[in-house]
Amino acid sequence: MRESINNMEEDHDLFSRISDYFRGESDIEEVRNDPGFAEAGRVADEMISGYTGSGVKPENRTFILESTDSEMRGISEEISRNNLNEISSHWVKEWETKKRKKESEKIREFIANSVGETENQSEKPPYTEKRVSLRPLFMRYALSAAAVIAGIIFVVSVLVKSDDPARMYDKFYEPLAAISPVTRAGSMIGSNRLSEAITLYNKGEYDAAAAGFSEIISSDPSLVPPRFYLGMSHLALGSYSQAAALLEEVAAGKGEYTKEAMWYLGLIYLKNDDKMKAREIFQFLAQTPGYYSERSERILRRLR
Amino acid sequence: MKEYTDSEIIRCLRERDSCVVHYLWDRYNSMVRLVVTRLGGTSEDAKDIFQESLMIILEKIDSGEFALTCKFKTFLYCISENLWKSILLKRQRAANYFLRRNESDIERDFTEVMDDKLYEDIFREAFDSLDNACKSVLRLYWEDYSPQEIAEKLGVSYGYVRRKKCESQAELIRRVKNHPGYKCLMEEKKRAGKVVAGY
Repeated sequence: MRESINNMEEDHDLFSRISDYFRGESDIEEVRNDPGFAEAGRVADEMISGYTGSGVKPENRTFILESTDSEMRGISEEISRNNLNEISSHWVKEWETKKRKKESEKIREFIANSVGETENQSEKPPYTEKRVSLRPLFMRYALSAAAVIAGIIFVVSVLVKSDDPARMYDKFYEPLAAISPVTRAGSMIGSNRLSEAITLYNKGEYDAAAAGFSEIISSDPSLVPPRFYLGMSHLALGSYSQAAALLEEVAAGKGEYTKEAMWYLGLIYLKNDDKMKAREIFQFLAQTPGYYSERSERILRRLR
Repeated sequence: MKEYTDSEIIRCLRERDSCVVHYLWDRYNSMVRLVVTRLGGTSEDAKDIFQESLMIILEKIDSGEFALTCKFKTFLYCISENLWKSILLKRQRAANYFLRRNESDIERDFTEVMDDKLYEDIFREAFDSLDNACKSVLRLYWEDYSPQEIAEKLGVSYGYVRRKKCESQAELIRRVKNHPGYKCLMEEKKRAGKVVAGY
């Protein structure tokens, strides 16, 4: 039994090693076939020729080293897997409450002792008397605290409930910091026009950018990036229905911009107060690992 | 669907989201390792190069001058390769310097480098000896397609893909283990008492 488990582990390790090799090979082949490979090589060459290593900011170095450190990563994965942050924070709160209670008990004892000392002869045992005299005081403070907490909860829930979709759109919308995408092989001219239009988009010249993207789409309707960015340009210009139509097409595909298109489409649905469609999209994004997952969760918490 | 698109990678790096670094490590460390080991480096060198490359990319993203005109992995590849080559050049110059001064050579352990090459040849030969159906399924699996996507691409059923993948994996492992080169390597490792911990 032990031997077969060892064999299984050995086979698993061997297949991982084989997979690593072929994945790496496949990536290298894809990289060499990337139309932007030559240009990327030139840019990289320029960047490395002046590189000394000492120019990297210490915080960036720390960020990368800690993120790739397998022990740290194991710890942070375990924390998130077992919800340790919430559990440990609950323990700390409990401990602090107990600590405060201990201190308040000490204070109570002190006061009670002091009161006991100054009291005139009493036939009742001090213990009982202390309890009777302090209980109303304690109850008063406890009830006041409970009332305050209840008030806070009420106010917060009202404020949260009153997050209306249009306001959420304003809160979460920001123009995309667009990056020039890779176009299909052999389309260098298209690639240049697309880069120019994206530059216009990044500068905020949305009308000119939209014109550029429309031109590229008319020459090659199958291209997804210009369709996506045309949608984004319309969105920036406030033409929500045109933006939605384009982003719906991109979202329906399974390409590079699907998640981005869905995110912005979700925001448009919020703007149009179509909560049901918005919720559908953000639920999907919340369950899909990536940049939009946590952001979608935040929106869903506010959408009731 | 890809876990992180190139746009997401850039955004997450800009916002110092460590999850994206984990993703990049998991996804692309094998590519960087191949680049470095094929140019005479070790796995440790590859890890250093990977980290250093990400630092360089991060600085570039922060500078605001960053414009990705290729896939992110292409850029990562180019930075890693150039960085490693520049380090090799510096090492070579240092080695030449010591040689001229008649000091002892900087000794390097080439065992790992040679083993890596042997493993690659063995894996390649074993894979090439599989039938086309096995090769297709495994290739698509290594390209991160889901079983459903593989089924659609190959025009077969989901169940077939799952079954075929298991069979192909088992067969590939069997052929690697039965490869004379692999057996020799394992014998040598046993004799040397080394533990092979990945390559």
